[in-house]
Amino acid sequence: MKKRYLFAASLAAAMLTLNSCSDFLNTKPDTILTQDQTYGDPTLIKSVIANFYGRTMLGQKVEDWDAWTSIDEAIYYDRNETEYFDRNKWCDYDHCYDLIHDLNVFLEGVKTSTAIDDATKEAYIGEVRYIRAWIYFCLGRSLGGVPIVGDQIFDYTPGMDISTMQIPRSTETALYDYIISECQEAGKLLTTETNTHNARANYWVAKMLEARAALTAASLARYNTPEAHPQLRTQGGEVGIPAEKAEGYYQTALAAAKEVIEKGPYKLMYPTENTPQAYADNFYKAVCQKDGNTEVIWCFDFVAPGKTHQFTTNNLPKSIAQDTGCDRLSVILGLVEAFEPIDASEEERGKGARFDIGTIDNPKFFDNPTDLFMERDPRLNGSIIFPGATFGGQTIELQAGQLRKENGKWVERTGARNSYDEEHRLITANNGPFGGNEREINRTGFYVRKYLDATPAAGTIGRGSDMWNVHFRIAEAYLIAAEASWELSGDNYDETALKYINDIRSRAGVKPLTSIDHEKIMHENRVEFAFEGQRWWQLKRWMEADKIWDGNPNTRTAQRLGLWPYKVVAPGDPNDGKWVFIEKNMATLDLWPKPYHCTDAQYYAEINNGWINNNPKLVKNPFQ
Amino acid sequence: MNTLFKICSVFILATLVLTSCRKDNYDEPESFIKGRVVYQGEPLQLRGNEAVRLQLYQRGYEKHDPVDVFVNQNGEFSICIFDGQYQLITKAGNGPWTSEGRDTIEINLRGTAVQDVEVVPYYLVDNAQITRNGNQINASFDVNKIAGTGIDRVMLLLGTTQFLSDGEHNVDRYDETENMADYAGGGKTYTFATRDYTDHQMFQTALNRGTLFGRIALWPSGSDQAIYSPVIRLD
Repeated sequence: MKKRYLFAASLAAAMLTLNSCSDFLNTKPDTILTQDQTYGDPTLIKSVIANFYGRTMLGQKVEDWDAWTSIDEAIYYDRNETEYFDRNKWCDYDHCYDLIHDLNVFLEGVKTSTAIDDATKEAYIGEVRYIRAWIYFCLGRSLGGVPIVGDQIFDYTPGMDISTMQIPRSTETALYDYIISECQEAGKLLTTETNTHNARANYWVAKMLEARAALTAASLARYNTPEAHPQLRTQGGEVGIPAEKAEGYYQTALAAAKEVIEKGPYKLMYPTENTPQAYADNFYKAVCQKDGNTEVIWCFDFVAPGKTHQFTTNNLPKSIAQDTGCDRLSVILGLVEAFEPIDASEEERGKGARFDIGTIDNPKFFDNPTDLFMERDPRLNGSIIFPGATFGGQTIELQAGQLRKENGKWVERTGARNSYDEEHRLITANNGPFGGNEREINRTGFYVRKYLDATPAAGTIGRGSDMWNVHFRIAEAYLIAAEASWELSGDNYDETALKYINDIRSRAGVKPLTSIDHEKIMHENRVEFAFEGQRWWQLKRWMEADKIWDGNPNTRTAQRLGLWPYKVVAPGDPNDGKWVFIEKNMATLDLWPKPYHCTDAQYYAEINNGWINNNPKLVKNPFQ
Repeated sequence: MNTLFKICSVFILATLVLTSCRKDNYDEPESFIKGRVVYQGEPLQLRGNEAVRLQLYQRGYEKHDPVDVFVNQNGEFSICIFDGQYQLITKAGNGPWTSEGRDTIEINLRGTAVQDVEVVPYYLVDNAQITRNGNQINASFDVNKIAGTGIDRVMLLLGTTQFLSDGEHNVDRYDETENMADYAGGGKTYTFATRDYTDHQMFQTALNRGTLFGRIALWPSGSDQAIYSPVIRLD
């Protein structure tokens, strides 16, 4: 009996010890691909590139609408006590350097690949170098100079001297020079053909980044001066571009933008009819419609089903909401009134104008709630949903309350959302606008239209929206050319500058400018690129944010205002059934009690202490 | 066997329960660094609320992150921390003073250390007067230029608590920005326009409640903070 056990045990031991090394335990890992495997297969190489594009969405984006409230465009319905602009907003250092490492690994690996022909290889290298330049640009616009690693790949093995991996920050000038030269080099490798939905880089995309980077550097050199911002520079030039560099950068920007306008395949889109509504629809299509679009140069694309986002779900008005979560963003009045009147006189052109609404004691009456807004730059209607506007074929009802006449005086009467008076007349609409603690309600009287998707079911959580997120449009090339040209000549009647800015204005449906200046350039950019993630970076390069966001509760540009529509209920009165508007301050309503505030300290993000611990060669930014 | 097992278990359990925490736990710090941010020995009037901070470093560790030391609105700070050798420094660009003479202060902490931090402010708000006459507020102060080069704005702040700053002012904040160049050189008395609060709801509430405070602030050009007057009670 015992012997049998002993025998069985020895047999088992023998099987285990003698056979353990045979091949059947040796399998190749099925979740890791080696360099050779990856660069030996054309499909895999393409999928690596796709992965890189998927990581290029930095800064303000359509997937993160709450962050839009950092700037003077929109608010959300919750209370918020933020006081200063968050200087570290949209600074994603770790993500960027992870990506730069991976891009460099690709550049190294694809060199020796035999799976793709040389022409494809060159084009891929061009795309990857372009993406790398874009990432450096996203870093630089927020931090100033950053370490430029070039094509180096850092592989750490224990025991090696890590100080060789620690690269100091470049100067701000050197960073922009590097970005510009990389765009030019990448451009030589890239095709001039366009691609599906313009989601991939080509020659013109690289040119656009070159133009935008050069314009950013030029404006920083011109507007971040030691006189105006004495502390906003570092000794080593990591922040602060010498003023004499401005001219060269403006020339680079102008040349690049001109090339895209004159030689590129992108064209401004025009409406077929000459009505404000047609211009508005045309503008919406130029930004938001993928099919037949000739204006978008580079975007971050989405596809349904598969890769979608929830912007539409969260931002549809309550009355046409398709799923839980809606009404998230309300547009502030400051942006709405920046759109100038269509028939503005020569001196009123190129600047915003307040709405003439009278006072509560002597209000102005309107037959339709849309009257006030249809007289404005059609881009307003193309970017923003105002009271009585339509979206997806449905009228968006916005009504804060009734205006009644009591003892000869006009009095507001408001109720809960969707409430009716004794005569079954609406008091406050389901959409609002209204204050208080209610959630999913409009606050200001305006919704975002740009990037809102009218495709059926785009507002459901299940499907989501495949609306793209635009990085570059041909309109930007025009405005860069106009700005650079004016900055170079300093002439308010500069013909080139006027021509380019008026091209944009005529496609928008507003009257041409007869003179141009810094204010008008800033204004045109604000209304053209509302919600497109450019505003903060533009305010920064013009060093304008500390002037308009001064933290003073009585400064109009620092306030978050709404314009609430009221329906007149005064039977017998000639104005019965008409509309009246009343301005509301979100601070007084205790929703956003603090005004916009930015000082010199908020312009550049902080160099994180953790990064300095890892790389003691990094110098801190000003105000840190 | 069973009894032995039980006794052993009790011993092991007791050892674990009674001693396990000793090793990674130590007493809370009891030492203090206290001081004030001063100019020529006088503490500065600032915005509290974590707006102005100093940085405390200790060398000899792998990481080199500073401890933030917050300065309150009367220019005082205090931090409870372990004994040791520290370095205290103002934060770059933070506070209404120049970087002139900005230097590290060595602090050897054994128990309590008192250490004032001397700075050179751009301006001082001297001899601040705020008076209430019924619903009217009058205010003036002497602009004392130390190292400033310009003034962005002057502010009159009213609130129902004594915590008053450019960000905290639940009754009113009134800014004047005109003719600032005339006062940039200092040595002049600045007088605010008389303000009438007869129709101001919050002002009336404050008066009824019996708590109204005022404070004057001056925002130097290029500074990230304003310099203040002491808080003046007005009810």
